[in-house]
Amino acid sequence: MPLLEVADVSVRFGGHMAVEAATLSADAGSVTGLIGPNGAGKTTLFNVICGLVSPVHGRVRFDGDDITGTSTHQRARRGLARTFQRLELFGSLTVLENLQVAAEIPRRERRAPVATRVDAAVEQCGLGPFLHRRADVITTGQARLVELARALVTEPRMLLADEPASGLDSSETEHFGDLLARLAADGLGVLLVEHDVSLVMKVCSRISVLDYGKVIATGTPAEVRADQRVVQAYLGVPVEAPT
Amino acid sequence: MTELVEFTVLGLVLASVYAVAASGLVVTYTTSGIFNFAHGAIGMMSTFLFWQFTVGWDMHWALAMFIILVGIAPAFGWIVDRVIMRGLANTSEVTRIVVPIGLLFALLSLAPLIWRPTENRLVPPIFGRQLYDVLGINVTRHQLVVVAIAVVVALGLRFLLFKTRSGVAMRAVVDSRELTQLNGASPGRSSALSWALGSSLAALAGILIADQVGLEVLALTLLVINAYAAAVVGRLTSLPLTFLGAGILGLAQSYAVGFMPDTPAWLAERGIEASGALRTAIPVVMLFIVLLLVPHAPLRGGGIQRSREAAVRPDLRGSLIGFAVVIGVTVVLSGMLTEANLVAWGKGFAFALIMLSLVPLTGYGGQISLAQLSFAGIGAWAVATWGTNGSPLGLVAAIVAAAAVGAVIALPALRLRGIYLALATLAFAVFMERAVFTQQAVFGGSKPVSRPQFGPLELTSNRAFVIFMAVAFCAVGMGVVLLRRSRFGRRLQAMKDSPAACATLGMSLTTTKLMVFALSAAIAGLGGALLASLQRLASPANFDLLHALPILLLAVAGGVALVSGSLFGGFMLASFAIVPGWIPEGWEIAGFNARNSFSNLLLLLPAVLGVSLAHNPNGAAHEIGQQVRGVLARVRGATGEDEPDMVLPPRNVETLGVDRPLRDEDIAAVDTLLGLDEEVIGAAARSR
Repeated sequence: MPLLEVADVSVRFGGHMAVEAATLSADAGSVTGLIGPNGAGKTTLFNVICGLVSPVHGRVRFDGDDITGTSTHQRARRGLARTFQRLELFGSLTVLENLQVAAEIPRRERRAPVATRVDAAVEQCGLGPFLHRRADVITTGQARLVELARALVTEPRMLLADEPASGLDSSETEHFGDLLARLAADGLGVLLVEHDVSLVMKVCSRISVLDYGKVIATGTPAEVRADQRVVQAYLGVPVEAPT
Repeated sequence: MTELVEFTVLGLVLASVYAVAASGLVVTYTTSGIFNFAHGAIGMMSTFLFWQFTVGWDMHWALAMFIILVGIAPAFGWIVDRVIMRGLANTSEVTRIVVPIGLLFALLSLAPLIWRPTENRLVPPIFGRQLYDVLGINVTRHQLVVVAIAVVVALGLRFLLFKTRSGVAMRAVVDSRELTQLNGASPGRSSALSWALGSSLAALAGILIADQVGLEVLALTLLVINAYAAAVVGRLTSLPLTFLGAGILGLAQSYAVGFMPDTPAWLAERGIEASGALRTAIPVVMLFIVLLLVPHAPLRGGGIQRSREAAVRPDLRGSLIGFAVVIGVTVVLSGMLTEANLVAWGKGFAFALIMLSLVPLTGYGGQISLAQLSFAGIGAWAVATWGTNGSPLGLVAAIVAAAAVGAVIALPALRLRGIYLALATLAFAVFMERAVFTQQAVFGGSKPVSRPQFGPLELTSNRAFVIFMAVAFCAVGMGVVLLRRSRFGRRLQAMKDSPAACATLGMSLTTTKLMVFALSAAIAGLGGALLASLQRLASPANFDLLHALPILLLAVAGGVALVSGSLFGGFMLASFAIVPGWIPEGWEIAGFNARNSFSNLLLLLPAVLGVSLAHNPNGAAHEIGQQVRGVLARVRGATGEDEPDMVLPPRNVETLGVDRPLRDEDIAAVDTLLGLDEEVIGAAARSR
């Protein structure tokens, strides 16, 4: 059974269907990609999964439980974490404090001490050099790592990563991709929204493609790359040359 | 039936004035993004000017109206936007709310200086008392014209916003300031235009309603609360819904006067006057209910907010030294002050405690409350009720009662943010003032309070009690300092920076807000209880909106994220009673009594400080702290030790190195811009 299941989810903003009957799933221990052109509804779907937006139709299940009606923080406490396309760091706190705040949020289950979890995430994401700087003065690349680390200290089972490579240069992107792959190898489920197709093809075991709010293809990277509908969604429908 | 028609017509007339006032509020808010709390005060000033022109100087009403509505009011709005509101870019929501409140308080303090409140003034209905028969009831010409004016304003605004270039630009600014600019329109001009138009509509509303309300500074200014209630129905953006809101409110008020039954005998016997209280409180009750009912934007990520405000992490040693100095100075000085000045000194601590209640709530947690003085009033009531014969239980009751009410009022307000939260707490404060504190069963005019006694420790002398107040302030202050350094303090700061991120990390915003609201109300309750104990009297007059505004202004102007800021604000407020006394009685400057004039000018100070926040959003205590640290650093010879435990926001790189030496944060900003981290910089330094 997949760890995260989105079944037949629709979201309406006024008269606009931002997401229409979308269905996808993501497993623990692997990176699942969610790609699509701008405005396809990827971030909206993320907002539905973590509870920031309510769907007009459809269900979200996590570890077999229906979590559609639960609040955002309750979902997080079940082990669902996310990063944001537009960075959402606590700008007036230092990088270390950002991690501490997240690690200190109480949970029912017993976990390692705050300091241990924070140290592990600092080590894993390489935050040492800028640990004591204020979060709104670090570079975008550093900030992406801090958001990831901040999500990791909550010990999530599923991470929703929203365009983590945007604003990063190629070496930073590669480094980030390796990190995600390592985390997945350690058992974390990752659902990755990303525009950098080479990154997606490299780290994802399965990919879903969203266009105009609908899932138009799902499969391995090779299958998705060969899918005509995907090609059309990205490149447009070929027009017959006038004869 | 005739009665119903009669009250309906009266209600519609009221509604027309509210609609004119509220539409001005909406136009300003949608275009400039700033909620003009001073809207009513601008209307009040304009109405006084109208009286001055027509009654004072015998000018024809039409000419006076033309000069005010087309000249003075819009010019004032334009200048306010250019000089004050423009400076609010990139400041926190708190600052954007407090600065217009500063302007409100400035006008409120200024008007009685120009038009002495002792004089009786009347504004006759401009359009005459000639009666017309409408649906079988008599209506004055003035009332008919007022309704017609509301219709003209509605049509005029519709035309302006949809059919004229300036109007379309104003609407475009609402959608995207940047895009409007890229398309060649000037958002600055649109915003100034909206302020001019808003002020003009405020003036019109004030002049139209003056014959009903009378020329009274506070009454005219607070009429704006009715406009808030109407505007909130339109979610501060929709003009048609705002007009609907005005209609509902006008009719509700009119029907309440006509048909609300008297207070039942069993309540009246217990000293509770329900009907009258409810009648006066209808606008705030409506405001509160509508705020809770209108759908609000869900939590969304907004990116990292780069605010001009500094985030301060107080250092323990400095705080301890500061508190020791405060207690020491109080012990020494209290032996030298006159009894009157000693009480004023004590009031400083009471005000400082009430302002301190805003530090965790607003300074750390980013939640806005205009109701802190109401919680103080609850504290005063509790200590008067349960602290009889010096029982220390009175203080405990004050803390518990205020915290409980704070939590209860926070519950419905939890889903509100920013300006909506400010308005809901304002509604609560006005409700407490008009409908609760005035009850015979609550304060009953005023209640005697005995000072607490702790075993053998007698606090009956003013000196002993003021020293006790100093110790109490310092103890709570130390608690607030420790709070900021604690887990809960970090949580509050995080909630202020990004509620969306907090929720997705598993933090319950509801619990966090509830806790901080209760804590903050408890501190304010203690402040109110100590104030009442100091004066040996609990009186509702100390806890009305007029007193609440300077508390908020000075708390934020002092520095709302700092304990020292509340001390600064509290003593600034208390000094207003002391300082004029230093001027010898009978001194005259240019024919004016020097002591009275100085006293009047001091009243303007909270407003001036509040308005100045647009240019210095960190508050006075922060600035003073920076200066002191600078001097200390120079004395120490820049050894690098004792670095300030303070993180400053980044500056624009454009401002660097032009007219001053680079500071640490400038260099950090350049590092960020160039993408350099410590590792790179360290390596570069080593290679050098």
